[in-house]
Amino acid sequence: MIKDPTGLNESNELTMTKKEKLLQQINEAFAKNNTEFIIKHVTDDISWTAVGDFTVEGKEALNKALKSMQSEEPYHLEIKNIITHGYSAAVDGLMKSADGKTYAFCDIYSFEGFTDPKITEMTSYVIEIKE
Amino acid sequence: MSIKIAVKEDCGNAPNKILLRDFKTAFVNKDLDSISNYVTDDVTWQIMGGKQLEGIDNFKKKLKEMDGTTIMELELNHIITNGTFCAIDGVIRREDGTNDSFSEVYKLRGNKNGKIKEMTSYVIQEVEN
Repeated sequence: MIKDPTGLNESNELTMTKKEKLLQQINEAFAKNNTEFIIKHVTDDISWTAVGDFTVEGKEALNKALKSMQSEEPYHLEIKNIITHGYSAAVDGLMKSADGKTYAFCDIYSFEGFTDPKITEMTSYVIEIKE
Repeated sequence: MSIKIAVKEDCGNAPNKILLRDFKTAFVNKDLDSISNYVTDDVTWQIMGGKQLEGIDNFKKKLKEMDGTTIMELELNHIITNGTFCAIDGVIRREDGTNDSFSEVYKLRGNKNGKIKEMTSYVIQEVEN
């Protein structure tokens, strides 16, 4: 049973801050293969590390990496927590693939800019959950 | 020899950041006596990919059992706190060249002088070349 302590259900959506909303949208974009949306919200010198796996540097490299990772079917996304403070943020939850794989993830973000915040750094901790 | 603790985050006077830094320091030092300063009696601990532990006794037991190899260094990269919700990430380096990169999400009970009531760990072990 996944709890919803951050109140990310529809009735509470108005209580989300702009950055929390952006993080929710980024994760939805990832689940739905919407690379364009992600690319729009990162800096040119973005660095993305999937811990134990790879690091990509720069918008072009990120674009390529995301495109190569696209799945045919969208993932089912369950966000558990979105925690933001200043220019840092963390999001954790579950991603389920159409072929039945479940991944638990916790991503740590660094942002730049206040009115139009963009992601400069993402670190992903991903663990496959085997039932 | 004591474990080197490197904290990239400026904890300032933020009590919850200091709480998490000190908790994690006690954690890597297996300082079982001080753990109750940081976690509630009914704490739950979910290590992703494993089963959930409940209660401080099970928490201490698990901590005591884990990590036979000497820990050399704890590095904390981020400590993010927003009210009673917190997250950290970093790496634990051991003598034998294995590293645990980890991120953790916490829920605290009590905003002032709070304690950890829920902890979720995402741990990825790497071997240094």
